[in-house]
Amino acid sequence: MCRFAAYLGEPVLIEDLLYGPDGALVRQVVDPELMSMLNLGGFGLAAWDPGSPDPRRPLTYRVPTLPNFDRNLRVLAGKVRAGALVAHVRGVLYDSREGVGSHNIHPFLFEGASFALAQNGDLYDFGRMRYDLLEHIDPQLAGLIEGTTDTEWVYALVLSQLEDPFLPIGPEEAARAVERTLEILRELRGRRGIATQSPVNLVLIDGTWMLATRYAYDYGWYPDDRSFFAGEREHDFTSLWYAAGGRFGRRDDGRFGMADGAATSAVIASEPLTKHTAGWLEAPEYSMLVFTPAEDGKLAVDTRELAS
Amino acid sequence: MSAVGPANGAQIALAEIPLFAGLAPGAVERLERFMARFEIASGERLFRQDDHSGRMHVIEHGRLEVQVELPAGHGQALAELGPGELLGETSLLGGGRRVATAVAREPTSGWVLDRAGFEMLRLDVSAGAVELMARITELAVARLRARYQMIAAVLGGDGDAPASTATREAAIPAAAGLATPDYLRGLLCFREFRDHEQIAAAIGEATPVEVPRGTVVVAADEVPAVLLVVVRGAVDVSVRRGGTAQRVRLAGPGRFVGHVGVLDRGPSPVVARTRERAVLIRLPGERVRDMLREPSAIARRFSAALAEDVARALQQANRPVARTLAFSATHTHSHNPVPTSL
Repeated sequence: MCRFAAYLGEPVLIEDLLYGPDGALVRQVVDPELMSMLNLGGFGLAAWDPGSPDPRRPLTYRVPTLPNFDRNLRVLAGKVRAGALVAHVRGVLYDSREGVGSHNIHPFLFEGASFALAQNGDLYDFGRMRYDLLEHIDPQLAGLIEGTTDTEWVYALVLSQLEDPFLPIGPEEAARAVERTLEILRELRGRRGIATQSPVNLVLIDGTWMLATRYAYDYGWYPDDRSFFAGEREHDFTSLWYAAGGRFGRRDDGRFGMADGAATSAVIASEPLTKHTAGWLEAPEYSMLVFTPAEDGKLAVDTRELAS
Repeated sequence: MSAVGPANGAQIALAEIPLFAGLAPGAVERLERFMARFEIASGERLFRQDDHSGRMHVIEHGRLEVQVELPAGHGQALAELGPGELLGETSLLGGGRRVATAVAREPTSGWVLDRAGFEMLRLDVSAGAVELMARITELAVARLRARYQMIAAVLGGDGDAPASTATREAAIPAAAGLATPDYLRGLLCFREFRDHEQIAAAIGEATPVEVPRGTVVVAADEVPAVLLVVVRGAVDVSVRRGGTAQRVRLAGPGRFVGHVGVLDRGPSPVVARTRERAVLIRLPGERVRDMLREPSAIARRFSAALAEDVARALQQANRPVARTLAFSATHTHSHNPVPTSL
């Protein structure tokens, strides 16, 4: 299991999301509030700076090391502002069979694709269904897969649902591609007889819109063994939270959060970035959140139910 | 807030409060030893939303406003409480954080029971302590019913949506491997039970059943006969009105369904339907109500798990309330009642 945070709106110093708040993403590597595991599998970031050359192409940073000890990241985060961002700390089982390396770091962003994707979830028994996905993945995109994590395959699958995976798309097209992807995964799991709980909390962002799912297949069905997955029955549905308001940062009262006023900015995160959660809303289970800029400069937040 | 020491001489007033009225002789005096006095000035905050909780307050004089803090600095008053009323019992039952902020609207005083005192009461098997714990749980159930009614009022429309009666329960006995003793012991609701025998004693003769996805297991406006323990899968609990619905809870393994109705013997304000195929244990309502007031170790453990789950249900019911209030405050959110066709 992993943690992610995504931001869209008025430019913020990256440091304010990654390090500043008392529940900031980097702190969630070793001290997540809503999960029991540490997130030791690496760190990744994609950040869009509207003032940079070629602003549709984000800054990316993906390393298999811990961000807590990364001085380069800390300095970078204190100097760069982003109008959109997705960052991810990867949770892996404490097991030597895990593939920990730069090829498995989220967010994934294929060369030429317009949006990045990260996940907080895991498809149980993915190894048994991995190659079944190939019948639904564009061969050109399949050739871009470098790693072994289910997320990169899901990313390729989402892109494969688009007419042209290398053209910019709007949030509605992205939402349809995600819904179709979830249907395909459900169908393939059924074909393989995989009926164990598998959370699929995705976040997609292209610098101008973002969407996220709070979703799971077969919620409440766990393996009867002593594995990590069996222990998941002590927890509720994998969490997803969001907040909307003015720019995220340190407020007048000294706390981090969204500035008062119109909703020009929004954060989606696996768990609130602040211990004080009054400004945060929990996404419903089996839902998709879509954040779209409106003409008045505000962000529209749409919550949709997903079929299960 | 200032705590001003033991509640000396407060037993007469305490005994007049409905929660404590009629308890066994000596019970109020025992309770008094666990409680302290508090006093706050007008405008002072008693506690803030998200504070780590662990105190229940009983108001003797004054008034407190309960507010919920919303995104982007918005706030909304939820209730005003006065003499004889309680607040904070949910956080004691659930062990979580405060779900709202309480501010004095005039000088306010009363009694406070902290977590240590509460845990002492939980361990106390005297008739008075057991009765008091049962009443606190029932109070939380009453709050949960009121919260569901509030959500129904926001949804508007008349009565229940037709979908809730589309498929009634069609259960078959669950395969033995789906609810083994080892598996049950790992569930949230049984984690404080000492061994398999205690769990078996709590369950009694109820046997696990497997229920297909989409089955209505608690119908609106009917008094549920059984309390459901979710063993596997998930149950969607929704308030449904006039063709729309709002999910107030997704109950997964180790959670209960049907507390409102079983514990207060009233018509269910919600519809519960299996969102995933599910394995459920159906505990007869009468047995559940009896256990709430039994002093045995098994009944105490079961009652504590039930009370904790009621508190959890209340926290979850606050989510759509917060979203609705945020919607009305910022006009940025699409209102999202769930279509009844789901």
